[in-house]
Amino acid sequence: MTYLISDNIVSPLGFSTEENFSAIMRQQSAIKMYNDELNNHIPYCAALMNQDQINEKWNSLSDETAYTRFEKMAILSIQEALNNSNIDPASPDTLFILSTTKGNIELIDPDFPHHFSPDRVYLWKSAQLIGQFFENPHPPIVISSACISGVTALITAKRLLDCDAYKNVIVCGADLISRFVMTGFQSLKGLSDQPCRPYDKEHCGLNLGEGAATIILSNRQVTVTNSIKLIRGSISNDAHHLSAPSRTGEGLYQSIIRTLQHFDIEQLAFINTHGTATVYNDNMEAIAITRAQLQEVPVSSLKGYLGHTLGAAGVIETVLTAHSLVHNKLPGTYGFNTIGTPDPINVVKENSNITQPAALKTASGFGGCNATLLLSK
Amino acid sequence: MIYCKESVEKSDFLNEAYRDLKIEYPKFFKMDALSKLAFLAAEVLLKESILAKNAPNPNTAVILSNSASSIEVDTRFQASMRDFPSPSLFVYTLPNVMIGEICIRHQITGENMVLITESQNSKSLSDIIIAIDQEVEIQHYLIGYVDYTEEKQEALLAWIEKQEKFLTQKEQAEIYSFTINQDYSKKSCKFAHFFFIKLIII
Repeated sequence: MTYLISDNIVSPLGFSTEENFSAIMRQQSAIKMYNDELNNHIPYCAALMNQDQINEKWNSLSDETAYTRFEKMAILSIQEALNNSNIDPASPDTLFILSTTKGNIELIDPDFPHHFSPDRVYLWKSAQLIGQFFENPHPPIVISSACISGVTALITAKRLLDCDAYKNVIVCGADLISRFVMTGFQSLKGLSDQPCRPYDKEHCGLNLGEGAATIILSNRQVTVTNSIKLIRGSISNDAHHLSAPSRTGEGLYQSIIRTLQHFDIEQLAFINTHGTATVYNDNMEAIAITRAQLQEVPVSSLKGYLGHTLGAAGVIETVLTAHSLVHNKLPGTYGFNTIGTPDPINVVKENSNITQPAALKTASGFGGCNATLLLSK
Repeated sequence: MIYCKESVEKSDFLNEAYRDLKIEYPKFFKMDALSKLAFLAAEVLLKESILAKNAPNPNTAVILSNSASSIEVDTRFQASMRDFPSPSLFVYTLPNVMIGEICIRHQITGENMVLITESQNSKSLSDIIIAIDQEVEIQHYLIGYVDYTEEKQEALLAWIEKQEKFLTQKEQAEIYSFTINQDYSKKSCKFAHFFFIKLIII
């Protein structure tokens, strides 16, 4: 059995899971309006980290300056998760998995001043430095599967624990919003210039977000009360289109069915979806959820609070899903008012109490990939 | 199998190989270099596979490793930002997109993942394949390493048709040997077909 034994979220809403969870339960969104060089002075909405705050936190942890802001964010998140556990990160029984889409990609921008060597843009290099900070003896595993990276990393951690390869796995997801990423999403016309509205009839694009999150998974239970287990996960591909999801939701549907096999869906308190607020994504998810006969199950998207944090999203949202199960409280979907998907799924608008013990987390991304995982008390 | 081509400009190599292999798939020309390389290697390898074209293959898994992510197209997208940021380049700036292209072509809908590793030889890749096999019902694996940078362009893929419900000890040993020692030349290997493609400019 795989247990979630400690976690952390670093986001514009705070540097701990508690700060993030309570801000979200107070319906506080990190999404703000900007008009600067990050998007060539086209106004945009995003959830961006305050650099001074990162540096301030960093200075209280280490006097090393040889880390990029991406690495600092990941290390701060891992350190905080470790502080709340008794796991030894330097033990050969502990493995690191890093989930990210673009890592230090801003270093290839000729207009971005920095003193780092060119190989720092390689994700394995950045991950090695993060693992070495904690004196871990293994090369970290780096998973870069677009927006399902975080969920994929957690599923992979669980599978490695199941075959006793390690006793503990530290999964960290992190991504920054560079000019590269912002301009790319702008070029695809995927961004909303207003705060995003997942599943709403006014949904018209996503907001990007920055953040990092860590979950420490173990094959040993540490506390008897409130321990959340990762039951199962599954990954699929639409085999349909690189940037547009399947019209029938096939890949996501397949992944949901595989993850929920032999599971009584009456036990599901809610589904935490990808819910990016693009019309394509939201409609596809509604189709897949309806096909899986889960249209009555409460659906919640967290993108209205933290934006789309890319490779960090799966880890951040799984942390918050686990804490919802622990506290029996589900945050409403910020930005949602009236259902806008052709298949009317049960999107929750307001905060609510939950009674059932389990939740499904889903994610979908470019390259046609989908991943889902099941958490339960 | 080793595919070599001499006296070809590096930039033309992939397109030349496409023509040589007599593939008809016009979408090939839209792909970035990493996807082209992965696509071509998979194309040759899967020609002899038992996969039925146009039928969904939910029990086939594609698990690849790569070192430089999508650096070739990342650099080109970054350069395009000076004038007109190209959405058709941006779509390829993720390493798992090469898997997406292979999945579309061969209708593979099963487990899929890209690991970013420092070098070709990676114990993590075999560990993960063997861990997946314990949990998921998989009949075939497409595994290997695909990387494309200015200096080095390499695809090394293996196709595995499983004989039993779980990978046998022998198959696991072969996977370790393939991913860690890069032992692709072993002629006696019966469990899998290997395809190796490497750019050689003379």
